[in-house]
Amino acid sequence: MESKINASELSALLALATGKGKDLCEAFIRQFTSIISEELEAGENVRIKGFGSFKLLEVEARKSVNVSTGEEYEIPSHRRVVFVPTRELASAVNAPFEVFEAMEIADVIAPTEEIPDPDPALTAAASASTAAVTEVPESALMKSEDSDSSEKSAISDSSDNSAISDSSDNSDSPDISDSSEAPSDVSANPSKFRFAKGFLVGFVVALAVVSCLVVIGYYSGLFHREADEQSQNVDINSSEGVKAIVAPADTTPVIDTTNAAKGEVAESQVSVNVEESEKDDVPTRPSDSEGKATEKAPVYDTVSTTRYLTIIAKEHYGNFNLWPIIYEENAAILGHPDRIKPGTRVVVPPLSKYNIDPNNQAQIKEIKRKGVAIYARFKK
Amino acid sequence: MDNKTLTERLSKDLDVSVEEVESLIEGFAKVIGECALNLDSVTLPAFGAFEPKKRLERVAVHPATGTKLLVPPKIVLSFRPATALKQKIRNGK
Repeated sequence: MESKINASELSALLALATGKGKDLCEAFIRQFTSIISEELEAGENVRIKGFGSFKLLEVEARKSVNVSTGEEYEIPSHRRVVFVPTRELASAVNAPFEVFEAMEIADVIAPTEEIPDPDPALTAAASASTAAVTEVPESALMKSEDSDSSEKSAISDSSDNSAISDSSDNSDSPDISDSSEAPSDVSANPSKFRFAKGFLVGFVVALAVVSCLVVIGYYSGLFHREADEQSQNVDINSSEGVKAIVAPADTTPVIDTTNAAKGEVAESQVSVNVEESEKDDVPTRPSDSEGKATEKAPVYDTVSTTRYLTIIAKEHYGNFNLWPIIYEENAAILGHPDRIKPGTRVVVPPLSKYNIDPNNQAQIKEIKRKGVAIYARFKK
Repeated sequence: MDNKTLTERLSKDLDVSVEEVESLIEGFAKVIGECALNLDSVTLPAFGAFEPKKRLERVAVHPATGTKLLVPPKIVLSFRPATALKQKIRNGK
């Protein structure tokens, strides 16, 4: 194929198609084209039903360079013609490829690139305050996965002693590593989040069981008395319907911050514990005050009907493209970035927290991609 | 110029009925479409050429969601005006 068809061949084809005389067809083509050219020369667009339209486009003057002399000259503004076939004709021409549709390619790079951001922040800050930060995603995770948390609570119920000794052992921080590993695992591939859910549950449970066994071996004798006291706590917790894995962990600061992060339920639990034993009370208070101190440091701002994350980002950072930073910081309380409830208070983290320079174009590009990834999470 | 003016003028010039002109235009579009389907270009003197062009498949990024899309190949019909006509249109302003 790919041959050229000239006017006489076309008129023959046209005569065949319409069943009219070849002379008429030839005259028709000649007249048809001359009328269209006349109109176009006169500056008129021509629309032909069932065929398409010839449109004139204004081309603006632009500068160009003469290739041989290197001399600059201006191409004056002019008109050119484009032909736009009707939808029927275009689809008839495209018939061989009509069946294909634009396909989505599964491999998405953007979401995987957002792991490094939260993680360094978590590892950078040290001590109990980090534990508070790390616990936040964990608690959010638990809210989203009811089955997960219920499973965990079942475990803590079934093996009371082991759970207790586990929690009392937390100064050795098996729990910290556990919780910090879990969220990174989740954020590693948010696109495959649902598929990884089962694996995650199994992983967390296995870790808990292993740590329990180890702890039983070493500390069953040491903490026997304390364990007895705390088994009472567990009973109270279970009666209250608290779904906490490491519920009775009041002796150590790590667990206290967990409870603080878990909100009112945890607070009521703390108060119960305070009443129960003064010994537990001592470590509880400092950790609470530490948690508050870390929360006071960041700047707060309120989302309203006219103040979006972008505007907040523009005010605080000077660049509205940096809004994903605020979003990620408050990801636990926010849903779709376009549907944030007016009046929501968000933490505005300092840019230094993520080592972001508002003038660094590469970083801004990265953050923009992160914003697209955030939207992609809510795509359904 | 709209379709009605064109058909009326053609029927007057060719001394045939408007219906016949309409069927001729319809046949013209059909023939051009068939030629383009076979990747044949149709050249008309002093007017220009109707050329089918193959557009290869490509990967595009959805601007809103950021997902990658494989856009399938397609054939588009384009019109390349003859040099004389192009010059007249260019200077017609």
